[in-house]
This record gives sequence, structure tokens and C-alpha cells, in this order.
Amino acid sequence: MNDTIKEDIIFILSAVIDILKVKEEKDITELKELSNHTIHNASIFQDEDSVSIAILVYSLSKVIEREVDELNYGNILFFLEKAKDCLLKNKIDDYRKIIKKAFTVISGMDSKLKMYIEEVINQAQIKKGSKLYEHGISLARAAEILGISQWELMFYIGKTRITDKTKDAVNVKERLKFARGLFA
Amino acid sequence: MKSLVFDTGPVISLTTNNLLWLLEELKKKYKGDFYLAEAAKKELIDKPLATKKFKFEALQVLKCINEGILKVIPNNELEEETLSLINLANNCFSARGNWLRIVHYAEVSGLVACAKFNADAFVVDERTTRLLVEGPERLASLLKDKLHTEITVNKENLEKFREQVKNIRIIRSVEIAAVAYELGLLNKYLPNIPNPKKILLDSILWGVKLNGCAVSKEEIEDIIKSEK
Repeated sequence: MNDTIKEDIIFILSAVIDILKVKEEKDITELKELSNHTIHNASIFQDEDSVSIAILVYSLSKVIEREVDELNYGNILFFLEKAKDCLLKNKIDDYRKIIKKAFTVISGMDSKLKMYIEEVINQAQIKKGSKLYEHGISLARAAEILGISQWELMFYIGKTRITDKTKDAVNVKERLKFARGLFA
Repeated sequence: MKSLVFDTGPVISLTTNNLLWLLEELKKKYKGDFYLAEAAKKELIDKPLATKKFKFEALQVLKCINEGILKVIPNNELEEETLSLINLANNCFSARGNWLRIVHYAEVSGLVACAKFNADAFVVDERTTRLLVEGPERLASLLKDKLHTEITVNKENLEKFREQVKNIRIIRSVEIAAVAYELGLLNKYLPNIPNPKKILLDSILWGVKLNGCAVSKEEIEDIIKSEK
């Protein structure tokens, strides 16, 4: 893990810990905003650590959104603090093991709805994949980085406004004229 | 023999719109071959067959391949040039001292297939490959805006990349669908309500957009206007 990634993940973990320390209504919004921030590093470095922290923060926001009244943040805070501590001490392997455990803890937050949690993590992967695409990474590459299929990523992207925001280099009329010529 | 090379995206958007059958009809009109790189086939078929999602859709594409409507180009025919071209493509832009790996092997192997077989066009729905071929400056600008950081362009690599793809023309599933409409291939879906043609075209174009083809609302409106 390079120093830039490490520093950024420490920043993210510190922010998540701060958000979760006091249970508030704004936690979900703040976590979602933070999760958007994580995507810049995931786009640039495309490393497992930047991607997994992005998915973790987003999944956490979704789980809290659903179960906010029943949740005890204690368990997840414990692992997040431990993960941060490992990074500060440069124990990268330990950090990765703890992040895996944190995912298990998030799943355990809602044992009644295991399938829902799996779906949340899958949705987090798709959502982050679409963000990578929005940031200029190709569809297939974004799917590869997130470990999802292009079918599900395309299906999701089509329902967003990502493609309405970029102007193509070739005019649609010109492209259509060329296509007509192929089948004339 | 003239040819078109398909990326995964257009095959996905046609399949998820129940329009994959159009390829056979369009191929008859085109009087040439439709190709897929083996790496694209892997994404389209092998991966979904290993999971539960989009499995049946993958089988529909497989049927299309088995019937020879889509021909698969073996990877060994493309591998060497693909590795060389992907190395250029993924070393064109850097951010924070890191080369941005913006494209995937399957997309680049499609480009290589186009160049190698002098295909009439590469059919690709996703935006990044298209921008890289047609307007890399726009891609650099998009990366800069979205990543909120300076993007360094390796002009030498970009120039080499452009030289290799300079003759490649690109179309999308949205143009394929529009042409199919113009050829009357979709007439069986004309509804018995006022403005049937406009409604049919609108439904098809929005269908491919909503299933992932990178086409803007304005472009769809332009296509509809041009059909009047």
C-alpha cells in the first residue's frame, strides 16, 4: 500500500469513527458523502484497499439507513479503530484482515436479513462501479475492479444520468448517417 | 469480406431489450460478418454462466454465436497486438503520479480486431473507449473534472495509440436500433395508437439507453427529429 492510499484511508477511517461515535440522524448522509470521496482514490489507484474501503463505507451507510434504531455501533467502531491503528503502525496485512472482519460485523448487524446484507454489498459494488465509470474508467475495467459483471453494471448505469453529462466527440447525426450507410 | 466488430455493451443492451434477434436480420442487410473478440465473449457468456444473474441472457448470446450470427475471434489472433495497444492506452493519462488504467483487455482487443481485419466499424456502447478513440482531449478533461486533480498526458503514447486506431469508426447500439427501425425491421411492434412510428422509435431508443448505451437525452431527441 503506498503512502498516499494509506493516508487517505486513515483519513476516511477517522471520519467514519467520528461520525459513528455519536448516533445522529445525519450519520447516513455523512457516510454517503464520505463514500463518494473514497471513489477518487479507487479511480486513480484501482487498488484493493481503496476499493474495499469505498464499499465498506457505502454498505455501512445502507445498513444504518435500514436499521438505525436497533443498531449498536460499538462492534463496528471497535474494528474500525483497530484497523486505523494497524495502518498508523504500518501493519498492512493486519489492517486487511480487520477490514474483512469489519465486513463480517456489518453482515452480523442484521442477522435476520442476511440476504439483504449480501445484496447491500453487491449494490455497493455496483454503485461504486458506476462511479468509476462516471470518473472516466471504462465499463469493462470498472466492472473488473469491483469484481462484478458488465451485465449488472450496464443495467445500473442505464438508470443513471451519467451519460447525459458528457458531450460526444462525434455528432449523433454524423454517426447515424455513417450507420445508415453500412446497411444501405 | 466486410465486417463489424462488437464490444460487449451493444450485445448486452440489445439482449436486455429483447432485440438480439435483430442481429440476424441486420447481418442479412449488411452482407458481411459480425465479430466478437474472445475476451468479449468471456465477459458476455462465461462470467454470467458461472453465476445466477443474467444467465439466461448469456444463453441467448451463446445461441447467437452457435448459429454463426456472431463469430468469435480467438484470443491468440489478437493477443500480441492487444497487449501492446492496452499498454499504450493505459499509459496515456496519469494522476498523482499514477498511470490511469482506463480500459480493459476486452475493449482493446475489439479495437485491435477492427484494425487487423479492417472492419467497417467498432460497435461500442461505453463512453471511455469511444472518447479515447474519437476525442482523447475530452477524456483528459473529464478525468480532470471528475478526479479533481491534474491529469498529465503522455503525448507520445497517445499519438502512438491514435495512429493505430485512426481508421476505426464507431457506432453504438442506439444507431443500430435506429437503422433497424428505418429498415422496417421493428414494424411488427408498431402500436395501434396515434403517432405509432414516433412511439416505437422513442421506446427503442430509450430502451437501449436505459439498459446502458451511453447516449444522451439530447442525442435521442436529435435522432427522433431526424426521422421526421
